Amino acid sequence: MNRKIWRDYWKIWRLRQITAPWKERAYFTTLWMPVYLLFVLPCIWIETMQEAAPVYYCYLIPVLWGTFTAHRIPFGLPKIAYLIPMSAADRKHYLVGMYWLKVAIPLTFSLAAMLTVRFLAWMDWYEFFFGILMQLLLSMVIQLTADRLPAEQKKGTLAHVGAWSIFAMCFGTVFLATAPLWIVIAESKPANYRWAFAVILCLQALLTLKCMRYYGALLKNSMFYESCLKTTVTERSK
Amino acid sequence: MIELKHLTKRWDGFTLHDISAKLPTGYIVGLIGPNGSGKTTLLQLLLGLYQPTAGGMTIDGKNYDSAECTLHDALGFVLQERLFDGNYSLEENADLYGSYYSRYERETFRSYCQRFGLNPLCRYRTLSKGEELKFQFAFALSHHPVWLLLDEPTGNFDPKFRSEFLRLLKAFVADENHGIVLATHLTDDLDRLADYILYLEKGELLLSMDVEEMRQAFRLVAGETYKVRLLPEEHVILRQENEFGAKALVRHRAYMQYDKALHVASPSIEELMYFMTKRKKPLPDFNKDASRDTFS
Repeated sequence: MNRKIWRDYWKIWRLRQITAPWKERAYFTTLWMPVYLLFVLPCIWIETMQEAAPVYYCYLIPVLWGTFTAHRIPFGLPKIAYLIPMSAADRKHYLVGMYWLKVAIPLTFSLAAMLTVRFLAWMDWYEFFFGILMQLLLSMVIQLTADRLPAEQKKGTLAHVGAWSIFAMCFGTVFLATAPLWIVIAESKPANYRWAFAVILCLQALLTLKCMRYYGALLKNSMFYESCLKTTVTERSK
Repeated sequence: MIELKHLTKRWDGFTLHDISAKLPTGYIVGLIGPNGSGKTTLLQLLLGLYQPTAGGMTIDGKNYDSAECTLHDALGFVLQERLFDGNYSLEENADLYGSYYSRYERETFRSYCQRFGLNPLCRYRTLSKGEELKFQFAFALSHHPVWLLLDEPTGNFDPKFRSEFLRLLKAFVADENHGIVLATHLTDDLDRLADYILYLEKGELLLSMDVEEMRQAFRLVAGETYKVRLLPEEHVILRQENEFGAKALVRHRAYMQYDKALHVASPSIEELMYFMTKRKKPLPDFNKDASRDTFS
């Protein structure tokens, strides 16, 4: 099963899979991160932000990576997974294994990049550890919500509004933590800037906990087709 | 053998109620009934997608609670939905999902694709509805299942492939170690193929008999209206009259005699289904006993 998880993960990095979100009109997935990366590009030319630019990209490129993989390998299973010889335990193993693989790979890249930035003395140890923790929490949430959470709820219900709120807050914290304005604040290093960073981290941790609890229940239901149908609005089929 | 014992399923306002039948290998079972009668629900139960609300079923002595992988390994399916990944080719899809089966063979898959006129390297999303069903069929055969469960596969096939398809189904059960359950509206296919019929209506199994027995159990009687009206009412399932005469589906008994002026014939499955769905009165209790071996 682990071999199958790795195999399915690497299959999405073919060219036709990379261009698929655009063809499927998943514009949010395909556009928001490249647009944001361009938004922070001026860092390179603004003298006070030049050291911060690599830090930005250490955060943002793994998020882009994670958003893409979350879209191409959604959290649930297609119908055919309930028709082939896979037991309920196999399905759970696949879902959990794939989820952690999708979190671990961009996080590994992020860790390597941030270590490099740290040793170039462009961030201190506090920023490094805060950054890694935030990346972990972001990755965990993105892999659950990037393409799924709002679609699971019936439109017009409180659950639908709540789902969109979680979704917006998740990506909103990316903006909050990495907007150029924030770097200006960090550059001037007021005494309480790390506390502000810690508040954002706590907010992210609460979001992560909420998402993990919701998806824990979904994981249990995804082991069987019928219970999966009962808890989702739309069938998952490609 | 597939054994259904008082199988009941309540789902989304619909109930499949107390289905009992024994379906041995070596036969083609036709699952017929009007729209919404529960054919697809029964197939979904056989495929393990739904769990029964009451009763149980076994396939070759095993059930889904204890042997899910083994059962899925023994089942091939053709369903009306698009199940595979649109961005991969047919061969990639077959290899991806075939790797879960113990008897999947890529060469067998390729040979079926060639036979069915499919290019294994083409993208799955480019297939038409008929091609998509052909692909599912090729995939199902390539992992050598014991049972084939088919949900209305023939409607989208061209006439040339339909003949090929029916030939393959007959060949599949020829060695008596394999079985087919075929849900279809195209009952003229079943007239040629089926050994056994399950007729569902509003979630109930009203008829469960082999085709020869069915042909002996019913008669389609046609002729002048006043003569058709003379048939014993308790045996008439449905009578239809128009300005040219009347036609009636009759539960036949060995002792029954018919007026020589009437045209009497065994109904086809299509005619049987037509009269069954149009009738207004309840059917007599043909086969409600689950312990009866209907293939004796």
